[in-house]
This record gives sequence, structure tokens and C-alpha cells, in this order.
Amino acid sequence: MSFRSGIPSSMPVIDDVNFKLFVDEADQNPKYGRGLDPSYKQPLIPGLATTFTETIPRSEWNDRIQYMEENRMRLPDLVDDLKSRGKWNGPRVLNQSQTNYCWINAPVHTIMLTRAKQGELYIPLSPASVGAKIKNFRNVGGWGSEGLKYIRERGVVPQSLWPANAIDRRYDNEESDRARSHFKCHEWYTLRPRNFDQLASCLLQNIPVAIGLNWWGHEVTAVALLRTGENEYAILIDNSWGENWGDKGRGVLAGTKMLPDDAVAPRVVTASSFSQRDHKLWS
Amino acid sequence: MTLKQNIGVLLVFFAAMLWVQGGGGLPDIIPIPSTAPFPTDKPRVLVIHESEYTAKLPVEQLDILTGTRFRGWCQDNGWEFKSWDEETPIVQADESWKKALSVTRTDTPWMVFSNGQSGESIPLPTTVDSAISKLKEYTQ
Repeated sequence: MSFRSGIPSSMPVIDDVNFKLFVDEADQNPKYGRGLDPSYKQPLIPGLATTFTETIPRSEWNDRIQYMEENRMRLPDLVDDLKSRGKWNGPRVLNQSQTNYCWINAPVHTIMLTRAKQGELYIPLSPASVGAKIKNFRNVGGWGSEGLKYIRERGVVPQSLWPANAIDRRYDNEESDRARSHFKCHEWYTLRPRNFDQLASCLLQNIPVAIGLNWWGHEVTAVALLRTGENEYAILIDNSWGENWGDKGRGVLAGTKMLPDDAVAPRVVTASSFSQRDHKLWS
Repeated sequence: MTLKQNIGVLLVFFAAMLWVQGGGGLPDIIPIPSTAPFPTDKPRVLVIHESEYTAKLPVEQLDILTGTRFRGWCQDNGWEFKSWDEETPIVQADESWKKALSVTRTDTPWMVFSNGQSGESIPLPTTVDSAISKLKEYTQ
């Protein structure tokens, strides 16, 4: 068996040896925004956040990974399948452009993936509609857990009503506020920092995880667990730098570079049936 | 006319009156009661689970909940598909789906489906193939 069968050659693999290249890439390229707030402490989120307790034993990982790859049941497979059927009418990943809103792009992407998993209609959602509200319309860093808390309480606005990267009060209006209520997160896991078994267990259940990485100053979305050796694993990520980065916006993190300093994983989002008017307006 | 003939004429007259009062058309066919577990105007299948416990599910069942094969088959064969946690907020969802989520269940994961006329409400089949076989029985 080829352990790296799930990793196309065009996909960047970031590990403990080469990670500085990717930090430099982001430092030198203004189009790759990042933005974790180093002063932020992960809060205990009240409400329906569940501390992760149920891990999948490592003895089951290899069989599960093999089954999920062979049967195309991983989250990237779902997005690719929906795209091929015309049911995901946008890019596979978000693009934060030059904003410092990676910390909210990743949670919003997890909401879009969870909606797809539940069988809800594809509606592109706006990270700025959450990030700008939390940070009082400043382009500054944050963490995914604070973003998901806001999405639980208030929701996120479709991009058609609030452009993805618009840190702009003009879009904070009655219409966008009405739309938010259809796009809330209801239940999620808060993972223990740097706990790989919890991260892997989420991915083996097709639960996307927004992960904050101090070494990169960046937050991305973990979408699948990969096997890279006899007992070696890596994670497939959706970045928020558009589809031109990596392999259609995706890459791989390995070694200690895949261990998250902050990790939140939505499990349940609002189920909505829209009026024809709203669907046309929000799509 | 004999007494029997008089009774016969009266019965025919009586039947004719009933026919006219009923609108004059052919008598309605007695409707067969629907065996659909929830009302819907199109084939729909809902898979219900507890997202907090999916770590305990065999990967073959998780495939039905989250993978591409079952939902792809549904789409190709005219079934709308949803995969919801039993606590999914549904206030803003379609009435038909709300009723699907509220069917009586004895366990999770669960599968409920209806083509409008008939359907079933059953424990989730153990594989994608068995779930597809079940829906095929109700695909028109």
C-alpha cells in the first residue's frame, strides 16, 4: 500500500523540517493574510460547547482511513462531489485576501462544510460578517473559538448580503441581521490544545476542525486524517488563501506542525428551508 | 307489477337519487390509507443521529451519514437527503422535514423515508448498499 496515496504530488506538505519556508512565504506575500492574536486566552465557552471525551482508538485508525479514502467519504470528497453535481457553486475554500481574518475564515468554512454534510443548500457565507462585529470593524487577529461563540449566538451572513472580506459597517443592516439567524452553530466540540487524538477522532467522524497554529500565526480548517507511514499520520487542511494556493487551496500538515493551539469543531448547525426569494437573494 | 318488481324499482330509484346527490360521477374509490411515516410531496429520506456519539458508529454506518455514495444515489434517483442530529434546530425548516424528525424512534441512528404514499421508519441500515436497497423498494 502506498501510504501517501491520498496526497497528490501537487499538494504542499508542511512539516518540522520545511515549515520556515511556509512562514516566509506568508511573511513575504501580502496577499496571504494571517492573524492570530497572541494575547488571546482560550475561554471556557458557555452554552452547548462540549468538551471532547470520546476518542477513536488508534488501533482503528488505519482501517478507517483506508475505508474513507477508498469510498470517497471524506469532507473534501463531499465538496468535490457536490461541485461536480453543481450543488457547490463556488470555490472549494475561502479566500481571506489581505485581511487578518484567518481566525474567522476557518470557523465559517467549518459551518459551510457542516451545512453540506447535513444536506443543506450551498450558501457562501461571509467571515467578515462575524469578524468585523467581534472586533468592532477593525482588521485584527483573533481565535476560532471566539468566532464560533459569536456564530452560535448571532449567526453568520451570506456573502451576497455581506461580501466575504468587507470590514465595513454599511453591510451591518436589518436585512443582513435577519439572514444571520438561518446560519447558526448549535453544538460543537472544544478540543484540548495540542491533543492529536482528539483532532484525529473528529476527522475520522468527518467533523471539520478550525485549528489555530501559533508557529504559523494562522488558522486553517482540518478536513481529513492521512496515513503517511506505518504509524505516522498527517492532516489535510483547507487553507483560506483561495484555490490558487497549494492543491486547489488544500495542503498537508505533518509532525508537530499539525498540533493545534486552539481547536473548535462544529457538529450541528441550523437547518433552514428558505423562501424562493431568500434563496435567490442569498445564493 | 309484483311486490318484488316494485321493491326492485324502488331500489333502483333510491340508488339513482344517491348517485345524483353524490355529484353524478363514478363513485369514489375508497382511498388506501397512506403508510408514509411523514407527509411529503416528493421522495425524502432523513438520517437521524446523535453527533456526540458518532465515534462509536462503525465506519460503514458513518458513510451513510456523511459520505458521498448514499447521498449521491439519492440525488440520482430523485430522493432529497438530509442527515441531522436529533437536536438540530428546525424552527426554520420545511414542515415535512420537521415531521420526519419527529417520528417515533426507539434508538439512534435512525432512518425515516417517504415517497409520499409509503415509506418506513427504521433503525439505520448497517451499510450504504443495504440503505440503497431499502430505498429502491420505494423508488417509483
